[in-house]
Amino acid sequence: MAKCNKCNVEVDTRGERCPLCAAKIEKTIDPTYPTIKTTSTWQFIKRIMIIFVLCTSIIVVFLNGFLTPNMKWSVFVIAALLSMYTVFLGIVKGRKRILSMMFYMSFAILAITFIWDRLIGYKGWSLNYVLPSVAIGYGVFLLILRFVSHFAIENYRGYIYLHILLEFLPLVMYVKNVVTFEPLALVSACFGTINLLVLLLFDFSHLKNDLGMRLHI
Amino acid sequence: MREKRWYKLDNSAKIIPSMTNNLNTNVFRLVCSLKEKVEADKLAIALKMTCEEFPMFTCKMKSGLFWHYLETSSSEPFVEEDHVYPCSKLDGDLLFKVTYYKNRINLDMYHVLADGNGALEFLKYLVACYLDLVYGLSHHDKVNTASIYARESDDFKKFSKFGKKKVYDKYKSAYKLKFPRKENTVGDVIEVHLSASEIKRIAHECDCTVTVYLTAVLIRSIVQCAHVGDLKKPIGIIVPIDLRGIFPSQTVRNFFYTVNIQYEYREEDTLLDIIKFLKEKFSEKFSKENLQALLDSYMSLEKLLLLRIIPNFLKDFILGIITGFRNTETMGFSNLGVVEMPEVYSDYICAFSGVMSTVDLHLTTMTYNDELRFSFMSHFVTNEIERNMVKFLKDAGIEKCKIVSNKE
Ligand SMILES: [Zn+2]
Repeated sequence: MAKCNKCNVEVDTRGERCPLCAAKIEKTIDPTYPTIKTTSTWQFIKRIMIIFVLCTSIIVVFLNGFLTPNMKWSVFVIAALLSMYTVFLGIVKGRKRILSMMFYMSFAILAITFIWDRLIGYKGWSLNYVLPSVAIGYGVFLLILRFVSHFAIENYRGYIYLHILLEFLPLVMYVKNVVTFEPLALVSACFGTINLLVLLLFDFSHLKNDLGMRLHI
Repeated sequence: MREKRWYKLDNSAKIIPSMTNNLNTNVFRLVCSLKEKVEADKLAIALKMTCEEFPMFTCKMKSGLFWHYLETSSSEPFVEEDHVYPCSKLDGDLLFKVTYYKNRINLDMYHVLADGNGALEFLKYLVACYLDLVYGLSHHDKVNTASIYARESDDFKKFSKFGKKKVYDKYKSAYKLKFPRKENTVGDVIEVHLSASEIKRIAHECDCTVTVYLTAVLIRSIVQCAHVGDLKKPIGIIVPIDLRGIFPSQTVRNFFYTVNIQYEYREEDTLLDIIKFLKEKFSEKFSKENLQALLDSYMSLEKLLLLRIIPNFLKDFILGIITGFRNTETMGFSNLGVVEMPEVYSDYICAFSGVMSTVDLHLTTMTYNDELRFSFMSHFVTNEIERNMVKFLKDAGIEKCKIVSNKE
C-alpha cells in the first residue's frame, strides 16, 4: 500500500501523486477505481464531421468568391452540408429509440426540403409532395410496427397522436389553398383516418390516462 | 412486460431537471464495498429481484406540457463493469444504473427518482439479494419490510398540513470557494476511510454528535483555506435533512429538504465555539416545527396556480436561471447516517459510501459498523479543504485513516 509521508496517510489512487497534497508517491499496484476511457467513438466521429463541414464550407465560400462572384452557389453547398449534418445528428441522438428518431427525422426532412424549396424559388413541391409522402411513409411504418412486429408501441403513443395530426395537415392545407396537388393530400388523410380508427379501436382505454399524464397541472 | 404506470414528480424532484447540467448532473452514487470480488451474473439476478420489489425505480422521465413525470420504462436494467466517472450523466432511459468493479457494487441514481436514503434502501436490498445468492443465505426479506405501496408514496403530500406558519428564510450571499477549477467537467472523488468509534470518541469529548463535529471541522478547514478578506461573507453549508427521521415515512422516493447553515466567521472562534454555534443552529433548524413549516411552505408554493400553468420548458428555463443566481451556499454536506443491515451480512460487507455530484465541492458521509467513510466530490484542481480536514482529524488523535481516490 502506497503511503504519503507528508500527510501521514495510506493512499490508494490511480496516479503517482498524493490526492491531498500532490506529493510524489509510489504507484498503487491495484487501485480501487478503474481507469476510464474519456472520449467515445461517437464523439470522435461527431468532431470529424464538424471539422469536415466547416472546412468544406470555408473552401466553397472562397472558391465562390474567386471564381464566380456574381453567382451565390456556395449557399446551396453549405445548405446541403448542414442538411447532411442535421440528419447525421438525428441518427446519433436517436440511435437507441427508433420511433422517436423516425419522427424527428421526418420533421428534419420536412424542414430541410422546405428551406430548399424556398432557396431555389418557391415552387411548393415540399408541401405538395414531400409532406404527404413523409406522412404516408411514416403512417405505413407505424401500422407495420403495430401489427407485423411485436413492437411495444404503447411506449410511443404520443408520437402516434402527433403523427395523426401530421397526416391530416396536407388536406387542411389543400382546403386553405396552400397546397395545390390533391391526390397525395387525400391519400395522406386516408391513412390518417385509418390510424385514428386503429387508435380508437385498440387504444381508446388509454386515451384518458395518456392525456392525464401529459397534461397534469 | 411490466405493468405501465406513471407518477407525478414529488416536491423536491420538481426543481431538479432545471438544475441539471454537465457540471452538476444531479446523479449521486452509493457504493457497497464487499469483502470479496463481485460476481456479475449473480448481481444481475439480484438486480432483477430488486427491481420487482421497487417497481417505481424502473421509470424514465418524460416531459408533459406542464410538468415532467415518471413513466414505467420498457428498458431492462442491467449490470456492467464500471467504466464511467462516478455521478456522470446516465445514458439510456432508466434513471439509475448498477455497476460493479472488483469488490464494489455501485448504484448511480438521478436525484429525480429518489434521495440518498431512498436509494440506499434499494442498494441494501440489492446487496442482500446478491449475498443470499452467492452464500446461500435467505435474509433479504428482512432488509425492507415496507409494502410496495408505502415505498412509492409521495410523502411530501402525505405529511403536509398546509398550516399557517410559513418559513422562507432569508440568507446572505455566502463565501465562494476560490480554487483553480479542473479543465474537464468530471469531478474527482476523494474518499477518506476512518473508524467510526474513534470519531465518536472525539466528538463525545467535545460533547456533540458526529455530524456536528464533522461539520465544525469542515467549516474550520474552509476558514483555513480562505483569504481573510473574503470571510466577511458567511460560510454557507447546505445540509440535506432526511424527513424520515421526523415523520413516520417508509417511502423510497425523495423525502428530504436542504437546510442552509450559515456561519459568520469570527477570528477568536475556536472549534468548540463553532460546535456550540452548530448545536444551536441544528436544534433550531431540525426541529419538527421548523421542518413542518418548511414542508408546508414548499408544498403551498407548488400549489400556486400561476406557477403550475407555465409550460414545462419555460419552467425549467426560469427555474434554471433562478437557481443559477443562487449564491447563498459555499458547499454541501450530506450525512447519510448509519447503514443498518441484518447482522449475518456483516461477514461479507466491508463498508458503504456515497458521493454526490456538485458544481464545486460536496462531502458525503456514511457509516457501516465501524467503517466511517466520507467522500468528497470536487471540481477543483487542488484539494486543500480535504487535506486540512484530514490533517485536523489526524492531529485530534485519529489513528486509522486511508485515502482512496480516482484522481489521475
Ligand atoms: Zn500527501
